[in-house]
Amino acid sequence: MTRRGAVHTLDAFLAASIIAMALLYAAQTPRERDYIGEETLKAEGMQALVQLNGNGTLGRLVEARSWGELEQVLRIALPGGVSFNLTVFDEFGSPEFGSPLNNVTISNGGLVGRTVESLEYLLAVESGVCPLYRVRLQLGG
Amino acid sequence: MLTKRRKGQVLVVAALAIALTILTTQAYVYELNNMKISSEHGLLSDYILGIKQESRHVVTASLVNVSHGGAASNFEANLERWEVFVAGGYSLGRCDLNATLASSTTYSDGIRLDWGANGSGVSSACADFALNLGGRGVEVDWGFTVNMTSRVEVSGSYDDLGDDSKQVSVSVNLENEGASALAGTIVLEYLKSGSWEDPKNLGSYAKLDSGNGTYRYTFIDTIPGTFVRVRVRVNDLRGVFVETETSLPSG
Repeated sequence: MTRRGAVHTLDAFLAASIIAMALLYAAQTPRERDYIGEETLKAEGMQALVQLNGNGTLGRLVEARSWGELEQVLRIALPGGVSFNLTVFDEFGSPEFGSPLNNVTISNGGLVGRTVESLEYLLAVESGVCPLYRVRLQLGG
Repeated sequence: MLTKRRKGQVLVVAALAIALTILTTQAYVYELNNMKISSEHGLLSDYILGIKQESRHVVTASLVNVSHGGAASNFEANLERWEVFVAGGYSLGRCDLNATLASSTTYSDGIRLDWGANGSGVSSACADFALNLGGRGVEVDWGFTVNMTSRVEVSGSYDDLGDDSKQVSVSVNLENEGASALAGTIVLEYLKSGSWEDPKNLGSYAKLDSGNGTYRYTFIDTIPGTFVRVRVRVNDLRGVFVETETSLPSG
């Protein structure tokens, strides 16, 4: 009886040790909150803008104020299922101060999605006076 | 006795199952974090790539301006505007961009306009950039050079048809940063009796665009002298202007 009790105690001790070790190991692993969806959305947006202006397309469309064409280009450049809203500011404007240059909404139907992220891209246009623009791209997905 | 012994084994197996679940969950969360770090790294890389790309556009825009007669100081002014713009555009910390104009025997204030009379013309702008990003656990120090160069090469010859009548063949080759590039506009002229003439006005004029940055022209006219002086003025697709002259010998 005494030996059986000792075996039970050892079993319980072994089980508790296993769980305790698992918890201890898990606690040592670095943990961060999961913002993966948002970050990916931002990264995709930045990548699209960088690629779009690789040959100066984005700058030319902004300089020509071709907002409709710009919207079409963004629809192609961004992944399907991602909603967007683009606003353009001149060198001295910003989302906080000043109104955007685009007098029409550059969007594929408004921002929808579980997460909405925003990023800014600084744009230089290859024309004689070297215009600079601040482009804010809001993404929903 | 046997049942009680199994109870002990079940307890240990259950503990192992729980431990395995905890570790699997933790491994999954760890993997997600790795993906997040990778995503943030990608975002930062694209941001830096964007800064470099737009720096190239600033240099090109300045070259367009200066090659069309703008002051060379516009280059430095544009770079200073760009530096200020970049510093105010990074919301996650500090972003310093410093540009230094290239200075050498061939460049003056970062600009080289060498529109020679030997059949080769060069318009070029060059600057060194130093980018420093800091904040949110990120420290980036990176230097890069931007050199935007448009070069035009002109060559050719003429066949003497008698009585100063000459059949002239001209070849124009355009390059951007050492690679063949297409021209936006090309104006070819030849010198006849002291004035520049447009061969397009001649019935014999023909142009062949090879589609790879090489353009060939032929025309026939009465041109006194033992050589034919030609001048080519080019705007490339970026808008950079470059010109050159040369004397074509008898072929």
